[in-house]
Amino acid sequence: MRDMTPAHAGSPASVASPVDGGDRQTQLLRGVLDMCLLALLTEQPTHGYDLVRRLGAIGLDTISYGTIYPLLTRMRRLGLIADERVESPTGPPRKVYAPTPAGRQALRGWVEQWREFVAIIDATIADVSFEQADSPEAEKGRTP
Amino acid sequence: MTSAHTANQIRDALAIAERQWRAMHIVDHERAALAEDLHTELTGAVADGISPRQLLGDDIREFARNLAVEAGVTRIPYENRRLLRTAAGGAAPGVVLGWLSMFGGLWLPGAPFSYPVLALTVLVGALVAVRVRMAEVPQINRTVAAMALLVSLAGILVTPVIMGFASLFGYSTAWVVVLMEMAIAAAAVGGATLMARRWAMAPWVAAAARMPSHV
Repeated sequence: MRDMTPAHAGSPASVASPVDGGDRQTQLLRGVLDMCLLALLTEQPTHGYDLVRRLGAIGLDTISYGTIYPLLTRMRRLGLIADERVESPTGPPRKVYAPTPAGRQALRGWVEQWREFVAIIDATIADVSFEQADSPEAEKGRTP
Repeated sequence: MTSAHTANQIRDALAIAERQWRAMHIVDHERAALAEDLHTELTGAVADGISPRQLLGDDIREFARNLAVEAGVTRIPYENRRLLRTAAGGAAPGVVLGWLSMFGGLWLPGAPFSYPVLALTVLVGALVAVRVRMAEVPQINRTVAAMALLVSLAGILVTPVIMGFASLFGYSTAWVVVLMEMAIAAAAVGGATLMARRWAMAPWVAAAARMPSHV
């Protein structure tokens, strides 16, 4: 079983290392990446690697094409998006993806669900006071 | 314009993906659809100055595996490893009996007929095990029938080969020699088993080819 205890538990610097943050972001994204892709494609239909560029531009630069393309293929299989070969002025035709009516409907539902979820999580963490949680008295209170 | 170098890179990437998809026993037309789609993506990316490696990463096999899984492709249920394991398990009592009769001094009734009887024990044990323990697998009756024919044939064909090999070593019963002989027999019988499965699955594969593609 994975040890969830930080290597230097108690040290403020160890609480959120950049690596942990990246892992956590990847895990959080896993459940919502399809929604993000649908949202971007609703905004503007495009091809796979342009989606990677657009995700990077909005700050999700850890997402690779190797993740995006299989996901697009699944979304196409599920009828959420459709692809069309579009002639390109700079070379061969590109496969451009766009949401289907079913995809737009799914996106609407997912966005509502996400907003409710975020509201619940925000309410849960709204009153957390880090000063109080890190104080020596609080540490003593946790000692058996 | 795509240079020869990038054309090679595309071809290499597609070849690696194809190998992965073949290993996954994806039906032909769906594999072709995956390859065509990926080819379109790669050539488009190369025209925009992005190499296949930049696009797909270093582990193209893993990429191809993920892509096939997400595409929900139809895989041919050869179940080769399970088939070989099950057949070997069913054949094991016959093999052990043969070993004991040859090297353990076990007396078998009807000694002049013991070799054909032992071969039959091995074959029937394998067939029954496959039929019973893999009953839910598609085309298993056809597989068992094909095995009955091809494994018997393989046994007949490999016998002179093993005898020839044995004669090279003066019919030695040294364990290394005997193990080599058993390996030759196992390769022939195992190969025949896999061929039988391919043969039995041919109608299933043809039917899958007529179905609309998932990809």
